[in-house]
Amino acid sequence: MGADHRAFLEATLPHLDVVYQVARRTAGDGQDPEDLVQETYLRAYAAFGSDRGEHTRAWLAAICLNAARSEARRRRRRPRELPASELLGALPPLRAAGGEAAADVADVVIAGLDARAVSGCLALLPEPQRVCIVLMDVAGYTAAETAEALGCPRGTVLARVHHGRRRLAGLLAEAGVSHGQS
Amino acid sequence: MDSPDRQHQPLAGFLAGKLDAAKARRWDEHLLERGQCWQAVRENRVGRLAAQLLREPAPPGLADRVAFAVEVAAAGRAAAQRPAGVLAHGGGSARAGGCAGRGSRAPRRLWPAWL
Repeated sequence: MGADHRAFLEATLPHLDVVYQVARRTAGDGQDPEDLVQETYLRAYAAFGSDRGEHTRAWLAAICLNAARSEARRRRRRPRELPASELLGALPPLRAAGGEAAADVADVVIAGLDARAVSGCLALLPEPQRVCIVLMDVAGYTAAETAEALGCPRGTVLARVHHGRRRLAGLLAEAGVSHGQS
Repeated sequence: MDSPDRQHQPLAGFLAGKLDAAKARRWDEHLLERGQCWQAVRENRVGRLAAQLLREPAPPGLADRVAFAVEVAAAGRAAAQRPAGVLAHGGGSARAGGCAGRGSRAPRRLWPAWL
């Protein structure tokens, strides 16, 4: 046991928070995010020294996403495929702004943002959009880092984030209107 | 193949602040004129704010747990690379001497309790 693991930890532990954000939002049902973080670091350590691109953060995110997918496959589950109606029905009610029907999406959502509702609606997004939002908006990756982690063009990442955010806002508004005004 | 993504790249670039000044100004003007596009921008903002609500710090102790797991993996890797003769000698001296002083090669636990 030598200096290599210390060098690895020095290079990667500063990114623990962002890796945890990714793990927290990509861990499948029944999968502990902390276990996923540990698995990510062990995989990263095993590959440390090989080419990891320019950004260690992006490299760690890619490993975390792969580890999450591997674990989901291993468990033979299909994550994030619950019927939308079922998940929306389980969401806590949001407070509708002013109680007016057909209020502006932004006003309704901002008035009643709730982390559990956001989490439930985020799970309803298609995986490409959800992953881009998790990396950029939740974990704080740049578009370039996200593109590197996912191996796709930066423009694609930006477009997916845009679509995903709009869809997320719409889902939240839908949940807020349907629960807050019935 | 991914045409919806390509169609929205200019707006996405504008929202991410990635356009140059001239293009950004044209987008500003466009948004002032087109209510539908302005609505899309507002929804984008709401979605971003909502997603940012989900940020939470890593639990205390996670860094120690990860560091320990890596240390254990490093120890396992070192043990696997060590010549068999060295292992045998180390184990023998630990048994024979019963001494746990510096330089002894007493066997150590390679895996944490939770594994």
